[in-house]
Amino acid sequence: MITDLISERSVIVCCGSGGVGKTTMAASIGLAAATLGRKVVVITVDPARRLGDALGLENGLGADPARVVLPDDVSGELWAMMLDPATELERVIRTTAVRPGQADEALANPFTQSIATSLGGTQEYMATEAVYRLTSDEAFDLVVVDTPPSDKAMAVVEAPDVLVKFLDHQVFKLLMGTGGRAARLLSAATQPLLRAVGRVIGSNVLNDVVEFLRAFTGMEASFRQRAITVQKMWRSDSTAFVLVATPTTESLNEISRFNDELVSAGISSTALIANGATKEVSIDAETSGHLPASASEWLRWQSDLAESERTVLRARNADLPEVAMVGRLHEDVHDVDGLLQLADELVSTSSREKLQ
Amino acid sequence: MLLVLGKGGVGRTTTTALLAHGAHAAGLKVLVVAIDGKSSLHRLCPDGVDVRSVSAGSALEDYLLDQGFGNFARRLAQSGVIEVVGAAAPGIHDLVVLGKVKQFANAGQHDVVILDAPATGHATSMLSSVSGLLDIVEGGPIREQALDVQRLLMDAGRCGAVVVTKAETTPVNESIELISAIHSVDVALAGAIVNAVEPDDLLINLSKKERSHLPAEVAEVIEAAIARHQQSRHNIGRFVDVLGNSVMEVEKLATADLNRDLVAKLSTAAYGEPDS
Repeated sequence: MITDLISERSVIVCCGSGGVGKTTMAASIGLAAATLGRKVVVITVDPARRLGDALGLENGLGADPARVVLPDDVSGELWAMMLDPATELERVIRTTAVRPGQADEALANPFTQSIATSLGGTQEYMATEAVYRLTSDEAFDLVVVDTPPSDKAMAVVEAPDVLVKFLDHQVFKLLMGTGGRAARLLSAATQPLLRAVGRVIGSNVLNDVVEFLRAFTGMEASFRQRAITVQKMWRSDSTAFVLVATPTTESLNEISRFNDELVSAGISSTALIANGATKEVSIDAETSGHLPASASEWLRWQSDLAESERTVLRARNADLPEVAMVGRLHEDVHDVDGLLQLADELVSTSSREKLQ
Repeated sequence: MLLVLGKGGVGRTTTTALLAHGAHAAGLKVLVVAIDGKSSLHRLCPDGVDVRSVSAGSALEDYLLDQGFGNFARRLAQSGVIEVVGAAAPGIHDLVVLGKVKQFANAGQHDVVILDAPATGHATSMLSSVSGLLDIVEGGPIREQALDVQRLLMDAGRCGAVVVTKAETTPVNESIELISAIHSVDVALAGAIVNAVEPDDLLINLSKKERSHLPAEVAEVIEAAIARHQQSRHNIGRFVDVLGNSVMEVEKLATADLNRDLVAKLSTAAYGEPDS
């Protein structure tokens, strides 16, 4: 199942709650695809910076893809980058500007930089711009997206919808207005709806927002076109959503809620990775009888846990996709060798669902 | 008011429920607050503990309604326009969420309010959002709200943070960073918990000789567990170095399916029988 995905799809989006090993899974999916000869780029949107550690990149990740050094027998390529919303916004503004000087004007606006980092949804929107750019780049034939933890992941998926909705919104049109600057500010300030906003946040701030939006005049069509392309891409057959969870009721409930949200957004997930599964130990009674008491007590603890994990996986919500189990590691993965082992396990038949 | 903080996946929700069990057993009236509707707290907390959920979006709406913005509030919140304007004052969502929790704490209907806070990165920005907003906003209702929330957060007699971690390297590193972030916003530390510690102590009793005589398939599993145990002890030691003896360990049970009764059992193990 996972093998099919990594050999065929052109976009794989990894989603899951914080702490389930999503970033490591994204990296090992990318690496597994590279071993099949594909040219892969992994982009992390999660600001936790763990991808660079997992890939053994000493200088960390930048806003441009950096090539990961792989063993000689890996025929493909693996590149990795981390979303930097401010850099991405600048790139987008420069390529979208419709008149000379507009990009500089937009970038000079004090809001532009603070918006990239602090406006709810902007980071997620910039992630979709970055994914759009990478999928259009012929240097890569697979883009693996490591999303932020699940509540924000949905914001990445929905970012294009939100932008289109915002561009169509009457208040946006009202803020953009017509006429000269003074007229626009005046008309903005006299609208009851905007007066209400101004009362909460201060009218000087409101005027700054109007100025900020004005700097983008003429770029709307281009923003809208890209947003629509990404909307379609999320839902196309060449994109796969892979869910990552730990084998516990808690985590499966969370991922199931997230999956429901995906489904209502018209997206179906393709695989569920149960990460950190406990190894099953089956030891016959005779061997067990000869073990030191503390050893057999420990083995009983571990096999109870393994059995319980399999039980909750079997009882998972019927809407969740097929499960691939990945065993718990002793320590965090921090180099390519560790990732290669994980990648092997991910594609090997032994990780496939053996729950029945 | 207790703020339960920690990295994703360390068991903040379980810990929140465990504290709720402990406080409830001690006869306190407990309110547990989840952010953005995590339903599992209902499943894990004892009967008699109130569980409420606060969502960032609706808290902002409620706040605007309270401030007399009427139907505008709903329209603004739903259209996404307030988001654009909110960029001017980053953290406005966080503030209204904390404001809502503050309201619960000040209402006086509960002896203790336990907040299952968002994961580390977001939680620290949530706490610093208050002073961030105070720097930007010079007057008006938002500033009043921020000042009120700040008063409560900084009142060590009323409010404290409980830091939760697992005994693994990255969570412990991040928890140590989290503790200095908590100090930097002048919030008191009320406790520290290492969650899901495997009962590997069993294995320390194995002698070298016993270990060398284990059948191969058993030896592999046992040696892996011992290696993990040593790493865990090392990590817990680093945590204790920072925090001293206030660190409490909570054992990992051999189940993937925690429920109310099991959390009660963990709580009793941590706090003792209700009467004692």
